[in-house]
Amino acid sequence: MNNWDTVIVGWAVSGVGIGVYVVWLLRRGRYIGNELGIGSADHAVDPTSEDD
Amino acid sequence: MLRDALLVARKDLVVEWRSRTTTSQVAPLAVLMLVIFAFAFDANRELLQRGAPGLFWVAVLFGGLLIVQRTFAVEAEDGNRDALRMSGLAPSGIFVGKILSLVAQLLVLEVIVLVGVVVFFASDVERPGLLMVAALAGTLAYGSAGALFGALALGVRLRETLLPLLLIPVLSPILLAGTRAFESAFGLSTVGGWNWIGLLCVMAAVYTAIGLVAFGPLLEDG
Amino acid sequence: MTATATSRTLGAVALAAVAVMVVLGLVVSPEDAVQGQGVRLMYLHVPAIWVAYGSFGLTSVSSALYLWRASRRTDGGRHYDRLAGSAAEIGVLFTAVTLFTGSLWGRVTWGSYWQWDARLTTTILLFMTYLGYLALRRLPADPGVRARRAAIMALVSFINVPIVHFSVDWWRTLHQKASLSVGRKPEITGEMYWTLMYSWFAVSLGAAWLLIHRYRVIRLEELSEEESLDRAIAERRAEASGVSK
Repeated sequence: MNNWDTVIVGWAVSGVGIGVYVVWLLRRGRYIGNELGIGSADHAVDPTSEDD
Repeated sequence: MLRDALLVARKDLVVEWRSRTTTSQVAPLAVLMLVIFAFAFDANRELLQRGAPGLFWVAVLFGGLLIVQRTFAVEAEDGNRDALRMSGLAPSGIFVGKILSLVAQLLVLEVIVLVGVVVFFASDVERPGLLMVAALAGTLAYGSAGALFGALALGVRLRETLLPLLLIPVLSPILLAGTRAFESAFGLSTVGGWNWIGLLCVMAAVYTAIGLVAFGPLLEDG
Repeated sequence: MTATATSRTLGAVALAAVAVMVVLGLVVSPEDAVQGQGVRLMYLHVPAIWVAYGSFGLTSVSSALYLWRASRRTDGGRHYDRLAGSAAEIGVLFTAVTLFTGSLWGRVTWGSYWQWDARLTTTILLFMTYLGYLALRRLPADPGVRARRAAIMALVSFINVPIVHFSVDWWRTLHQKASLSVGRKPEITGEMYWTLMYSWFAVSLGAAWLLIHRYRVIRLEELSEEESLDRAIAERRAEASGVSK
């Protein structure tokens, strides 16, 4: 494996890894949101709300 | 506080004495580990001798994990925790008691493993004073970290696999320092063993301090 | 759904920034005189660990705030707990990237996938420590108990990391080898320096976006948990009143 191959592998695997995480995260958000019947394309769960 | 601590330590050690788990199960297991090391290193005498300080601490580390598990499993049993909470004992005292109990059991384990190491790996204890102080310092560090994490995992059902995962990163510097100090004590290196002992004492102090503050709240939980 | 207009904008900007970073890192920036193309891994590796440190720092600060300032908030401090948890997960993710790219970079630079120098050893232990933290967070328990336990663990970890670093550093300097350049970054000047700084900026934007979304998902998970608990209680009540009829 020459240097260039290694660089590509490094960037590609990292990118794919983070990409998988992003997809998982967004889908999980959508799934739970639908389950609870809250949140929509216009109104997300507000992270700073103190409504507890 | 000290009286509470001694009370708790005594209770633990009496329980341990009756079952003798440390001596009858944990210590043999640790000694077995030494045998397995010999297999792993192809009975290479020189390698084993050079590695003896580290192998000692590895065996103690894993044997010690079992001791920590047990010491806190006792508290997890029905109502023990509530009994502790309502006993009127100062939480800091209970925590120190736990440390003392762990230290005592760990020292017993270490003596047995040390004999194993000296016999199996032909280790030469050139500086016994250094060795004893190093072992004590390392044990204090291990005991305080173990008591803190045992408390953290109190009442947690999946304790068996989680506790080692949490504890080992914290025990790593203890193993590192202990091994370097033992290397000096076994005459395998000329690097200052006493400096590493200093580090071990600092670690012991830090974990004890954190535990003194955190143990009360942790006991209340769950 | 965890997106708002703000986070969507941030996401778009982050994505664009990362795209530029890829071009800069892989195409525009020059190769190194000594390392050749291998230096390009640095543009991912170094920003990743910086972002990871920042994340873990955030976890620690949040955990401290949870333990000492929670009473001042109407939500009982759960905001701090969520922040600590999401930051830790981002930190673990980027530490993994650091270790992976670092290993490959090492292969290219020193010929080996791993070295037991202070920095690498500390980093692998850092990774394991926070993996353990995430595992602890996942254990079923009363939310308040879980949060407090996690916060204490976070602070212990925060103290442990410098202890580990100090011990390992001392250890390795006592074992100096001929190849002292182990772990040292190359002399970075000019274009490489700016590429590195820019990459840090781009990666940070991405990490911030991830943090926001992870935080919101944790919030959703909490709500989901509460709802199933409420439902279980309601069912139990219905049973009880059914029986007494």
